[in-house]
Amino acid sequence: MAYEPVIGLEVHVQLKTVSKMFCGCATGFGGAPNSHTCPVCLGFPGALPVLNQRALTGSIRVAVAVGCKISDKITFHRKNYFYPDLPKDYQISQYDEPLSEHGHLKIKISGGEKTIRIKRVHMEEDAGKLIHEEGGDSSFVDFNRSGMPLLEIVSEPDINSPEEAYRYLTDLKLLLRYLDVSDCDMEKGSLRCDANISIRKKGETGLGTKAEVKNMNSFKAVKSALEFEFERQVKRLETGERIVQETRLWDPDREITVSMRSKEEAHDYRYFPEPDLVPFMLQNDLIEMERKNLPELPGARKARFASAFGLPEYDAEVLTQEKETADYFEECLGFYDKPKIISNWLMGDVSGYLNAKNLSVRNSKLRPQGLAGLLKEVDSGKISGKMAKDIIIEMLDTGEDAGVIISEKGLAQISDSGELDKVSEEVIAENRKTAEDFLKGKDNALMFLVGQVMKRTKGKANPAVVNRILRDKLTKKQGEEDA
Amino acid sequence: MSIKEEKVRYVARLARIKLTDEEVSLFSRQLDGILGYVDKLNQKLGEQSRIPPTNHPHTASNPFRADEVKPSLKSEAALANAPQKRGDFFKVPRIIEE
Ligand SMILES: [Zn+2]
Repeated sequence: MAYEPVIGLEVHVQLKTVSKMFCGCATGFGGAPNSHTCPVCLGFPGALPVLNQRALTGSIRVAVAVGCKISDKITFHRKNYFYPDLPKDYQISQYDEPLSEHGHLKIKISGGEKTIRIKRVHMEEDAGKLIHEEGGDSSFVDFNRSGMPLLEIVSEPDINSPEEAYRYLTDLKLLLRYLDVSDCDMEKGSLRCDANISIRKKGETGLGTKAEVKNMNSFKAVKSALEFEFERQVKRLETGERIVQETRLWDPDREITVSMRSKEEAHDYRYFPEPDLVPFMLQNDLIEMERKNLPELPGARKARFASAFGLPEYDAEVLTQEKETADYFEECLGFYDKPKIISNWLMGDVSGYLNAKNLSVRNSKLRPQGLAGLLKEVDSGKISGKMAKDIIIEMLDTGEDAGVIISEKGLAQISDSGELDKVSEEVIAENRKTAEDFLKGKDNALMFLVGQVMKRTKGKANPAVVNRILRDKLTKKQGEEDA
Repeated sequence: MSIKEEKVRYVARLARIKLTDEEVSLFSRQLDGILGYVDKLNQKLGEQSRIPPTNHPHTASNPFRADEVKPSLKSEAALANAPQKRGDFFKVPRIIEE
Protein backbone atom coordinates (compact mmCIF):
# COMPACT_ATOMS: atom_id res chain seq x y z
CA MET A 1 0.00 0.00 0.00
CA ALA A 2 1.40 3.38 -0.96
CA TYR A 3 1.35 6.10 1.68
CA GLU A 4 2.02 9.78 1.42
CA PRO A 5 3.08 12.19 4.13
CA VAL A 6 0.91 15.14 5.07
CA ILE A 7 3.08 17.90 6.45
CA GLY A 8 2.46 21.31 7.95
CA LEU A 9 5.28 23.60 9.02
CA GLU A 10 5.45 26.17 11.77
CA VAL A 11 8.18 28.67 11.18
CA HIS A 12 9.30 31.24 13.72
CA VAL A 13 11.48 34.08 12.55
CA GLN A 14 13.02 36.75 14.65
CA LEU A 15 12.05 40.15 13.32
CA LYS A 16 14.87 42.54 12.51
CA THR A 17 14.35 45.33 15.02
CA VAL A 18 16.88 47.09 17.21
CA SER A 19 14.74 46.85 20.35
CA LYS A 20 12.59 44.06 21.76
CA MET A 21 8.92 43.58 21.06
CA PHE A 22 7.46 45.22 24.16
CA CYS A 23 10.41 47.03 25.76
CA GLY A 24 13.45 49.07 24.75
CA CYS A 25 16.08 46.42 25.49
CA ALA A 26 18.53 45.83 22.65
CA THR A 27 18.08 42.79 20.41
CA GLY A 28 21.73 42.51 19.41
CA PHE A 29 23.61 39.29 20.03
CA GLY A 30 26.65 38.96 22.16
CA GLY A 31 25.82 40.92 25.31
CA ALA A 32 26.78 39.44 28.68
CA PRO A 33 24.02 37.16 30.05
CA ASN A 34 21.02 39.12 31.35
CA SER A 35 22.53 42.45 30.31
CA HIS A 36 19.71 43.14 27.81
CA THR A 37 16.90 42.93 30.32
CA CYS A 38 14.50 45.23 32.10
CA PRO A 39 11.41 44.95 34.30
CA VAL A 40 9.23 44.27 31.23
CA CYS A 41 11.18 41.39 29.71
CA LEU A 42 12.02 39.98 33.15
CA GLY A 43 8.34 39.95 33.99
CA PHE A 44 8.54 42.12 37.09
CA PRO A 45 5.14 42.86 38.59
CA GLY A 46 3.61 46.08 37.37
CA ALA A 47 5.83 46.47 34.31
CA LEU A 48 3.82 47.35 31.22
CA PRO A 49 4.52 46.19 27.69
CA VAL A 50 4.25 48.64 24.77
CA LEU A 51 4.27 47.32 21.21
CA ASN A 52 7.26 48.06 18.98
CA GLN A 53 5.92 49.74 15.87
CA ARG A 54 8.54 48.32 13.55
CA ALA A 55 7.74 44.81 14.74
CA LEU A 56 4.16 45.44 13.72
CA THR A 57 4.94 47.00 10.34
CA GLY A 58 7.44 44.24 9.52
CA SER A 59 4.80 41.66 10.40
CA ILE A 60 2.26 43.39 8.20
CA ARG A 61 4.75 43.43 5.34
CA VAL A 62 5.13 39.64 5.56
CA ALA A 63 1.38 39.12 5.86
CA VAL A 64 0.80 41.27 2.76
CA ALA A 65 3.55 39.49 0.81
CA VAL A 66 2.01 36.05 1.39
CA GLY A 67 -1.43 37.35 0.50
CA CYS A 68 -2.94 37.01 3.95
CA LYS A 69 -6.12 38.75 4.94
CA ILE A 70 -5.11 41.24 7.61
CA SER A 71 -7.53 41.80 10.47
CA ASP A 72 -8.74 45.33 11.21
CA LYS A 73 -8.56 44.49 14.87
CA ILE A 74 -5.79 42.51 16.44
CA THR A 75 -5.45 41.44 20.03
CA PHE A 76 -2.76 39.80 22.07
CA HIS A 77 -3.32 36.86 24.37
CA ARG A 78 -1.45 35.30 27.21
CA LYS A 79 -0.35 31.75 26.55
CA ASN A 80 0.11 30.29 30.00
CA TYR A 81 2.68 27.68 30.86
CA PHE A 82 5.48 27.20 33.31
CA TYR A 83 9.04 26.90 32.24
CA PRO A 84 12.13 28.55 33.70
CA ASP A 85 12.91 30.42 30.48
CA LEU A 86 9.53 32.16 30.64
CA PRO A 87 9.78 34.84 33.32
CA LYS A 88 6.11 35.87 33.41
CA ASP A 89 4.83 32.28 33.26
CA TYR A 90 3.00 33.31 30.13
CA GLN A 91 4.08 34.24 26.66
CA ILE A 92 2.43 37.19 24.95
CA SER A 93 1.12 35.70 21.73
CA GLN A 94 -1.95 35.88 19.53
CA TYR A 95 -4.89 33.56 19.59
CA ASP A 96 -8.30 34.10 18.05
CA GLU A 97 -7.68 37.54 16.57
CA PRO A 98 -4.26 37.12 14.98
CA LEU A 99 -2.66 39.65 12.70
CA SER A 100 -3.59 37.79 9.56
CA GLU A 101 -4.92 34.57 8.08
CA HIS A 102 -5.46 32.71 4.82
CA GLY A 103 -2.42 33.41 2.70
CA HIS A 104 -0.34 31.24 0.45
CA LEU A 105 3.17 30.69 -0.81
CA LYS A 106 3.99 29.36 -4.25
CA ILE A 107 6.89 26.95 -4.18
CA LYS A 108 8.92 25.52 -7.01
CA ILE A 109 8.61 21.79 -7.43
CA SER A 110 9.93 19.62 -10.21
CA GLY A 111 7.81 20.35 -13.22
CA GLY A 112 6.15 23.50 -11.97
CA GLU A 113 4.74 25.29 -8.99
CA LYS A 114 2.66 24.28 -6.04
CA THR A 115 0.62 26.54 -3.81
CA ILE A 116 0.99 25.94 -0.10
CA ARG A 117 -1.74 27.67 1.86
CA ILE A 118 -0.68 29.69 4.86
CA LYS A 119 -3.03 29.37 7.78
CA ARG A 120 -1.90 32.36 9.76
CA VAL A 121 0.89 34.81 10.36
CA HIS A 122 1.00 36.17 13.87
CA MET A 123 3.24 37.97 16.32
CA GLU A 124 4.58 36.74 19.61
CA GLU A 125 7.49 37.24 21.96
CA ASP A 126 10.42 34.91 22.43
CA ALA A 127 11.40 33.19 25.67
CA GLY A 128 14.80 33.31 27.35
CA LYS A 129 17.55 30.78 26.87
CA LEU A 130 18.27 27.83 29.14
CA ILE A 131 21.72 26.43 29.46
CA HIS A 132 22.15 23.02 31.03
CA GLU A 133 25.12 22.11 33.06
CA GLU A 134 26.76 18.96 31.88
CA GLY A 135 26.06 16.31 34.49
CA GLY A 136 25.08 18.92 37.09
CA ASP A 137 21.75 19.41 38.77
CA SER A 138 21.23 23.02 37.76
CA SER A 139 20.21 24.93 34.67
CA PHE A 140 21.08 28.56 33.94
CA VAL A 141 18.85 31.19 32.45
CA ASP A 142 19.77 34.10 30.22
CA PHE A 143 16.85 36.42 29.54
CA ASN A 144 18.54 38.45 26.81
CA ARG A 145 16.33 36.65 24.29
CA SER A 146 13.21 37.09 26.38
CA GLY A 147 10.80 39.42 24.61
CA MET A 148 12.54 39.35 21.23
CA PRO A 149 9.95 39.93 18.50
CA LEU A 150 8.94 36.78 16.65
CA LEU A 151 6.70 36.17 13.72
CA GLU A 152 5.05 32.77 13.50
CA ILE A 153 4.12 31.57 10.05
CA VAL A 154 1.94 28.49 10.05
CA SER A 155 1.27 26.53 6.88
CA GLU A 156 -1.75 24.35 6.19
CA PRO A 157 -0.94 20.62 5.86
CA ASP A 158 -0.46 21.02 2.10
CA ILE A 159 3.08 19.70 1.93
CA ASN A 160 3.35 16.14 0.69
CA SER A 161 7.02 15.25 0.76
CA PRO A 162 10.15 16.09 2.71
CA GLU A 163 11.51 17.60 -0.50
CA GLU A 164 8.52 19.95 -0.73
CA ALA A 165 9.07 20.92 2.90
CA TYR A 166 12.64 21.82 2.03
CA ARG A 167 11.51 23.91 -0.95
CA TYR A 168 8.88 25.65 1.14
CA LEU A 169 11.49 26.64 3.70
CA THR A 170 13.95 27.78 1.05
CA ASP A 171 11.38 29.86 -0.77
CA LEU A 172 9.96 31.30 2.46
CA LYS A 173 13.43 32.29 3.63
CA LEU A 174 14.17 33.88 0.27
CA LEU A 175 10.96 35.89 0.52
CA LEU A 176 11.61 36.99 4.10
CA ARG A 177 15.11 38.10 3.22
CA TYR A 178 13.81 40.09 0.27
CA LEU A 179 11.32 41.73 2.61
CA ASP A 180 14.24 42.61 4.88
CA VAL A 181 12.32 41.59 7.99
CA SER A 182 14.63 38.90 9.32
CA ASP A 183 18.11 37.46 8.92
CA CYS A 184 16.58 33.99 8.83
CA ASP A 185 19.77 32.45 10.14
CA MET A 186 18.96 29.02 11.52
CA GLU A 187 22.38 28.69 13.10
CA LYS A 188 21.86 31.86 15.09
CA GLY A 189 18.31 30.83 15.88
CA SER A 190 16.66 33.69 14.02
CA LEU A 191 14.67 31.08 12.07
CA ARG A 192 13.25 27.98 13.72
CA CYS A 193 11.01 25.32 12.27
CA ASP A 194 8.74 22.68 13.78
CA ALA A 195 6.94 20.16 11.62
CA ASN A 196 3.66 18.32 11.95
CA ILE A 197 3.52 15.11 10.00
CA SER A 198 0.97 12.38 9.54
CA ILE A 199 0.52 9.83 6.78
CA ARG A 200 -2.36 8.57 4.73
CA LYS A 201 -2.97 6.17 1.88
CA LYS A 202 -2.39 7.83 -1.44
CA GLY A 203 -5.61 9.12 -2.86
CA GLU A 204 -7.29 9.63 0.49
CA THR A 205 -8.09 13.10 1.75
CA GLY A 206 -8.54 12.64 5.50
CA LEU A 207 -5.86 13.41 8.04
CA GLY A 208 -4.18 10.81 10.21
CA THR A 209 -2.82 11.19 13.72
CA LYS A 210 0.12 13.55 13.58
CA ALA A 211 3.42 13.77 15.33
CA GLU A 212 5.10 17.08 15.99
CA VAL A 213 8.81 17.03 15.22
CA LYS A 214 11.17 19.56 16.78
CA ASN A 215 14.84 20.29 17.25
CA MET A 216 15.93 20.57 13.63
CA ASN A 217 18.72 23.08 13.19
CA SER A 218 18.93 23.28 9.41
CA PHE A 219 16.64 22.89 6.41
CA LYS A 220 18.49 19.67 5.60
CA ALA A 221 17.76 18.40 9.09
CA VAL A 222 14.06 19.19 8.58
CA LYS A 223 14.12 17.12 5.41
CA SER A 224 15.98 14.22 7.02
CA ALA A 225 13.74 14.25 10.09
CA LEU A 226 10.63 14.15 7.90
CA GLU A 227 12.05 11.33 5.80
CA PHE A 228 12.75 9.33 8.92
CA GLU A 229 9.40 10.12 10.47
CA PHE A 230 7.50 9.18 7.32
CA GLU A 231 9.14 5.77 7.23
CA ARG A 232 8.62 5.25 10.94
CA GLN A 233 4.92 5.94 10.64
CA VAL A 234 4.52 3.74 7.56
CA LYS A 235 6.25 0.89 9.37
CA ARG A 236 3.95 1.26 12.35
CA LEU A 237 0.80 1.14 10.27
CA GLU A 238 2.07 -1.76 8.22
CA THR A 239 2.78 -3.78 11.32
CA GLY A 240 -0.67 -3.00 12.64
CA GLU A 241 0.39 -0.48 15.28
CA ARG A 242 -1.22 2.84 15.97
CA ILE A 243 0.36 6.23 15.63
CA VAL A 244 0.37 8.21 18.84
CA GLN A 245 -0.07 11.93 18.91
CA GLU A 246 3.17 13.13 20.47
CA THR A 247 6.11 15.46 20.22
CA ARG A 248 9.29 13.93 18.90
CA LEU A 249 12.79 15.35 18.86
CA TRP A 250 15.20 15.01 15.96
CA ASP A 251 18.50 13.54 17.07
CA PRO A 252 20.98 14.72 14.44
CA ASP A 253 23.74 12.35 15.54
CA ARG A 254 21.69 9.19 15.34
CA GLU A 255 19.49 10.59 12.56
CA ILE A 256 16.29 9.44 14.18
CA THR A 257 13.37 11.07 15.94
CA VAL A 258 12.84 10.25 19.58
CA SER A 259 9.63 10.59 21.54
CA MET A 260 9.71 13.35 24.14
CA ARG A 261 8.78 11.43 27.21
CA SER A 262 7.93 14.51 29.22
CA LYS A 263 4.50 14.50 30.73
CA GLU A 264 3.32 17.41 28.59
CA GLU A 265 -0.20 16.97 29.87
CA ALA A 266 -2.13 17.71 26.70
CA HIS A 267 -1.21 21.34 26.17
CA ASP A 268 -3.74 23.48 27.94
CA TYR A 269 -2.48 27.01 27.71
CA ARG A 270 -5.64 28.68 28.96
CA TYR A 271 -5.23 31.55 26.56
CA PHE A 272 -6.84 34.74 27.73
CA PRO A 273 -6.74 38.34 26.48
CA GLU A 274 -3.61 40.22 27.53
CA PRO A 275 -5.05 43.00 29.69
CA ASP A 276 -1.84 45.05 29.47
CA LEU A 277 -2.23 45.60 25.74
CA VAL A 278 -5.32 47.24 24.31
CA PRO A 279 -6.69 45.88 21.04
CA PHE A 280 -5.13 47.40 17.96
CA MET A 281 -7.28 48.82 15.23
CA LEU A 282 -5.23 48.59 12.11
CA GLN A 283 -5.81 51.57 9.93
CA ASN A 284 -6.05 50.69 6.30
CA ASP A 285 -3.42 53.25 5.32
CA LEU A 286 -0.83 51.43 7.42
CA ILE A 287 -1.53 48.22 5.55
CA GLU A 288 -1.65 50.00 2.20
CA MET A 289 1.66 51.68 2.89
CA GLU A 290 3.33 48.32 3.48
CA ARG A 291 1.68 46.96 0.37
CA LYS A 292 2.89 49.88 -1.69
CA ASN A 293 6.41 49.66 -0.33
CA LEU A 294 6.70 45.95 -1.00
CA PRO A 295 9.98 45.38 -2.84
CA GLU A 296 10.13 43.42 -6.08
CA LEU A 297 9.75 39.81 -4.90
CA PRO A 298 12.10 36.99 -5.91
CA GLY A 299 9.89 35.40 -8.56
CA ALA A 300 9.24 38.70 -10.32
CA ARG A 301 12.86 39.67 -10.18
CA LYS A 302 13.99 36.38 -11.65
CA ALA A 303 11.55 36.80 -14.53
CA ARG A 304 12.76 40.34 -15.14
CA PHE A 305 16.43 39.26 -15.10
CA ALA A 306 15.64 36.72 -17.80
CA SER A 307 13.55 39.01 -19.97
CA ALA A 308 15.19 42.41 -19.54
CA PHE A 309 18.82 41.25 -19.53
CA GLY A 310 18.49 38.21 -21.77
CA LEU A 311 19.97 35.96 -19.11
CA PRO A 312 19.43 32.20 -19.20
CA GLU A 313 16.85 31.01 -16.68
CA TYR A 314 19.57 29.33 -14.67
CA ASP A 315 21.58 32.56 -14.32
CA ALA A 316 18.46 34.53 -13.42
CA GLU A 317 17.64 32.02 -10.71
CA VAL A 318 21.12 31.90 -9.19
CA LEU A 319 21.54 35.68 -9.20
CA THR A 320 18.21 36.27 -7.47
CA GLN A 321 18.72 33.66 -4.73
CA GLU A 322 19.99 36.41 -2.49
CA LYS A 323 18.62 39.92 -2.73
CA GLU A 324 22.08 41.22 -2.05
CA THR A 325 23.58 39.41 -5.03
CA ALA A 326 20.78 40.58 -7.30
CA ASP A 327 21.28 44.19 -6.17
CA TYR A 328 25.01 43.86 -6.68
CA PHE A 329 24.52 42.48 -10.17
CA GLU A 330 22.31 45.41 -11.12
CA GLU A 331 24.85 47.86 -9.74
CA CYS A 332 27.56 46.26 -11.87
CA LEU A 333 25.32 46.70 -14.88
CA GLY A 334 25.36 50.43 -14.23
CA PHE A 335 29.08 50.43 -15.00
CA TYR A 336 29.36 47.68 -17.59
CA ASP A 337 26.63 46.85 -20.02
CA LYS A 338 27.11 43.14 -20.72
CA PRO A 339 24.78 41.22 -18.38
CA LYS A 340 25.86 37.71 -19.33
CA ILE A 341 29.54 38.47 -18.82
CA ILE A 342 28.91 39.96 -15.37
CA SER A 343 26.74 36.98 -14.55
CA ASN A 344 29.50 34.56 -15.59
CA TRP A 345 32.01 36.26 -13.33
CA LEU A 346 29.66 36.55 -10.37
CA MET A 347 28.53 32.93 -10.59
CA GLY A 348 32.03 31.68 -11.38
CA ASP A 349 35.25 33.08 -9.97
CA VAL A 350 33.65 35.56 -7.60
CA SER A 351 31.23 33.15 -5.97
CA GLY A 352 33.95 30.48 -5.82
CA TYR A 353 36.10 32.88 -3.82
CA LEU A 354 33.22 34.01 -1.60
CA ASN A 355 32.11 30.47 -0.82
CA ALA A 356 35.62 29.43 0.12
CA LYS A 357 35.93 32.40 2.47
CA ASN A 358 32.33 32.21 3.64
CA LEU A 359 31.74 35.83 2.68
CA SER A 360 28.88 37.59 1.00
CA VAL A 361 29.61 39.76 -1.99
CA ARG A 362 28.88 42.90 0.03
CA ASN A 363 31.35 41.86 2.70
CA SER A 364 34.05 41.32 0.11
CA LYS A 365 36.31 44.12 -0.99
CA LEU A 366 35.24 43.93 -4.62
CA ARG A 367 33.09 46.91 -5.60
CA PRO A 368 30.77 46.85 -8.60
CA GLN A 369 32.85 49.59 -10.30
CA GLY A 370 35.94 47.47 -9.65
CA LEU A 371 34.53 44.41 -11.37
CA ALA A 372 33.31 46.54 -14.26
CA GLY A 373 36.78 48.12 -14.57
CA LEU A 374 38.41 44.70 -14.79
CA LEU A 375 36.01 43.50 -17.48
CA LYS A 376 36.71 46.61 -19.53
CA GLU A 377 40.45 45.88 -19.38
CA VAL A 378 39.72 42.42 -20.79
CA ASP A 379 37.56 43.90 -23.55
CA SER A 380 40.29 46.34 -24.53
CA GLY A 381 42.77 43.50 -24.89
CA LYS A 382 45.07 44.93 -22.25
CA ILE A 383 44.84 41.72 -20.28
CA SER A 384 43.70 38.23 -21.16
CA GLY A 385 40.71 36.52 -19.62
CA LYS A 386 43.14 34.20 -17.90
CA MET A 387 45.04 37.09 -16.32
CA ALA A 388 41.76 38.57 -15.21
CA LYS A 389 41.07 35.40 -13.23
CA ASP A 390 44.19 36.03 -11.17
CA ILE A 391 43.58 39.75 -10.88
CA ILE A 392 40.03 39.28 -9.59
CA ILE A 393 41.31 37.24 -6.65
CA GLU A 394 43.69 40.05 -5.76
CA MET A 395 40.86 42.56 -6.08
CA LEU A 396 38.69 40.47 -3.79
CA ASP A 397 41.55 40.27 -1.31
CA THR A 398 42.65 43.88 -1.35
CA GLY A 399 39.90 45.95 -2.98
CA GLU A 400 42.52 47.49 -5.29
CA ASP A 401 41.53 48.67 -8.77
CA ALA A 402 42.31 46.38 -11.69
CA GLY A 403 44.37 49.12 -13.37
CA VAL A 404 46.61 49.53 -10.33
CA ILE A 405 47.19 45.78 -10.00
CA ILE A 406 47.97 45.49 -13.71
CA SER A 407 50.59 48.23 -13.70
CA GLU A 408 52.10 47.33 -10.33
CA LYS A 409 52.63 43.73 -11.32
CA GLY A 410 53.53 44.50 -14.89
CA LEU A 411 50.71 42.25 -15.90
CA ALA A 412 49.63 44.09 -19.00
CA GLN A 413 49.35 41.81 -21.94
CA ILE A 414 51.89 42.39 -24.70
CA SER A 415 49.99 43.18 -27.84
CA ASP A 416 52.74 45.35 -29.21
CA SER A 417 53.75 43.67 -32.43
CA GLY A 418 57.27 45.12 -32.40
CA GLU A 419 58.22 43.19 -29.29
CA LEU A 420 56.28 40.08 -30.25
CA ASP A 421 57.87 40.18 -33.71
CA LYS A 422 61.29 39.79 -32.21
CA VAL A 423 60.35 36.93 -29.93
CA SER A 424 58.48 35.15 -32.71
CA GLU A 425 61.53 35.35 -34.99
CA GLU A 426 63.66 33.78 -32.29
CA VAL A 427 61.17 31.02 -31.64
CA ILE A 428 60.92 30.16 -35.36
CA ALA A 429 64.71 30.17 -35.71
CA GLU A 430 65.11 27.78 -32.79
CA ASN A 431 62.32 25.45 -33.90
CA ARG A 432 62.95 25.01 -37.61
CA LYS A 433 61.58 21.51 -37.69
CA THR A 434 58.29 22.48 -36.06
CA ALA A 435 57.98 25.45 -38.36
CA GLU A 436 58.33 23.16 -41.35
CA ASP A 437 55.77 20.77 -39.92
CA PHE A 438 53.30 23.62 -39.82
CA LEU A 439 53.98 24.48 -43.40
CA LYS A 440 53.39 20.86 -44.31
CA GLY A 441 49.90 21.26 -42.89
CA LYS A 442 50.26 20.33 -39.23
CA ASP A 443 48.15 22.91 -37.43
CA ASN A 444 49.22 21.62 -34.02
CA ALA A 445 52.72 22.75 -34.79
CA LEU A 446 51.57 26.35 -34.73
CA MET A 447 50.05 25.86 -31.28
CA PHE A 448 53.41 24.65 -30.06
CA LEU A 449 55.12 27.75 -31.40
CA VAL A 450 52.52 30.04 -29.83
CA GLY A 451 53.16 28.21 -26.57
CA GLN A 452 56.88 28.91 -26.87
CA VAL A 453 56.26 32.63 -27.36
CA MET A 454 53.91 32.67 -24.39
CA LYS A 455 56.58 30.98 -22.32
CA ARG A 456 59.24 33.51 -23.25
CA THR A 457 56.95 36.41 -22.45
CA LYS A 458 55.94 34.78 -19.17
CA GLY A 459 52.38 34.46 -20.36
CA LYS A 460 52.01 38.15 -21.00
CA ALA A 461 51.73 37.97 -24.76
CA ASN A 462 48.32 38.35 -26.29
CA PRO A 463 47.82 34.85 -27.75
CA ALA A 464 45.61 36.09 -30.57
CA VAL A 465 48.26 38.57 -31.68
CA VAL A 466 51.04 35.96 -31.40
CA ASN A 467 49.00 33.56 -33.45
CA ARG A 468 48.56 36.12 -36.21
CA ILE A 469 52.24 37.17 -36.22
CA LEU A 470 53.53 33.59 -36.38
CA ARG A 471 51.12 32.63 -39.11
CA ASP A 472 52.13 35.72 -41.17
CA LYS A 473 55.82 35.11 -40.72
CA LEU A 474 55.70 31.42 -41.59
CA THR A 475 53.58 31.81 -44.69
CA LYS A 476 55.75 34.70 -45.80
CA LYS A 477 58.85 32.55 -45.37
CA GLN A 478 57.27 29.81 -47.42
CA GLY A 479 56.48 32.33 -50.15
CA GLU A 480 60.11 33.49 -50.19
CA GLU A 481 61.44 29.93 -50.33
CA ASP A 482 59.06 28.94 -53.09
CA ALA A 483 60.01 31.94 -55.14
CA MET B 1 -22.80 26.04 34.30
CA SER B 2 -21.51 24.47 37.44
CA ILE B 3 -18.00 23.92 38.65
CA LYS B 4 -17.13 20.46 39.77
CA GLU B 5 -14.40 19.84 42.31
CA GLU B 6 -12.53 17.92 39.68
CA LYS B 7 -12.32 21.03 37.55
CA VAL B 8 -11.03 23.10 40.45
CA ARG B 9 -8.30 20.54 41.11
CA TYR B 10 -7.38 20.56 37.41
CA VAL B 11 -7.13 24.34 37.16
CA ALA B 12 -5.21 24.48 40.42
CA ARG B 13 -2.71 22.02 38.99
CA LEU B 14 -2.38 24.05 35.78
CA ALA B 15 -1.72 27.14 37.88
CA ARG B 16 0.64 25.27 40.21
CA ILE B 17 -1.47 26.14 43.23
CA LYS B 18 -1.63 23.63 46.04
CA LEU B 19 -5.11 23.36 47.53
CA THR B 20 -6.31 21.39 50.52
CA ASP B 21 -9.47 19.31 50.20
CA GLU B 22 -11.31 21.92 52.24
CA GLU B 23 -10.17 24.66 49.88
CA VAL B 24 -11.18 22.66 46.86
CA SER B 25 -14.68 22.26 48.17
CA LEU B 26 -14.85 25.91 49.29
CA PHE B 27 -13.67 27.27 45.92
CA SER B 28 -15.96 24.92 44.01
CA ARG B 29 -18.93 26.33 45.87
CA GLN B 30 -17.80 29.93 45.48
CA LEU B 31 -16.97 29.63 41.79
CA ASP B 32 -20.20 27.80 41.24
CA GLY B 33 -22.04 30.75 42.78
CA ILE B 34 -20.25 33.28 40.57
CA LEU B 35 -20.86 31.33 37.40
CA GLY B 36 -24.45 30.73 38.40
CA TYR B 37 -24.88 34.47 38.59
CA VAL B 38 -23.43 34.91 35.11
CA ASP B 39 -25.81 32.25 33.86
CA LYS B 40 -28.69 34.18 35.37
CA LEU B 41 -27.56 37.37 33.61
CA ASN B 42 -27.36 35.55 30.31
CA GLN B 43 -30.86 34.24 30.74
CA LYS B 44 -32.22 37.67 31.63
CA LEU B 45 -30.51 39.39 28.71
CA GLY B 46 -31.51 36.62 26.37
CA GLU B 47 -30.33 36.05 22.85
CA GLN B 48 -31.42 39.46 21.56
CA SER B 49 -28.64 41.28 23.35
CA ARG B 50 -25.62 39.10 22.84
CA ILE B 51 -22.68 41.16 23.97
CA PRO B 52 -19.31 40.43 22.38
CA PRO B 53 -16.64 39.65 24.93
CA THR B 54 -14.78 42.73 26.06
CA ASN B 55 -11.09 42.12 26.13
CA HIS B 56 -10.30 45.59 27.28
CA PRO B 57 -12.28 48.33 28.98
CA HIS B 58 -9.95 50.98 27.56
CA THR B 59 -10.78 52.87 24.42
CA ALA B 60 -7.21 54.09 23.95
CA SER B 61 -6.07 53.57 20.42
CA ASN B 62 -2.89 51.88 19.33
CA PRO B 63 -0.24 52.99 21.78
CA PHE B 64 3.03 52.16 20.01
CA ARG B 65 6.59 52.83 20.77
CA ALA B 66 9.24 53.62 18.17
CA ASP B 67 11.86 50.95 17.64
CA GLU B 68 14.52 52.55 19.81
CA VAL B 69 16.92 51.05 22.29
CA LYS B 70 16.54 52.21 25.86
CA PRO B 71 19.06 51.46 28.61
CA SER B 72 18.59 48.03 30.16
CA LEU B 73 19.15 47.07 33.78
CA LYS B 74 22.66 46.33 34.91
CA SER B 75 23.08 42.58 35.36
CA GLU B 76 23.53 43.09 39.13
CA ALA B 77 20.18 44.85 39.28
CA ALA B 78 18.51 42.26 37.05
CA LEU B 79 19.81 39.48 39.29
CA ALA B 80 19.34 41.28 42.59
CA ASN B 81 16.23 39.36 43.60
CA ALA B 82 17.26 36.01 42.17
CA PRO B 83 16.98 33.25 44.78
CA GLN B 84 19.99 31.63 43.16
CA LYS B 85 22.49 32.81 40.59
CA ARG B 86 25.83 31.91 39.14
CA GLY B 87 27.89 34.58 37.42
CA ASP B 88 25.46 36.61 35.34
CA PHE B 89 22.97 33.74 35.10
CA PHE B 90 19.84 32.94 37.02
CA LYS B 91 20.27 29.48 38.47
CA VAL B 92 17.33 27.10 38.53
CA PRO B 93 16.86 23.39 39.25
CA ARG B 94 17.87 21.35 36.27
CA ILE B 95 15.15 20.87 33.72
CA ILE B 96 15.22 17.44 32.21
CA GLU B 97 13.55 17.06 28.91
CA GLU B 98 14.31 14.33 26.47
ZN1 LIG C 1 13.41 44.62 28.40
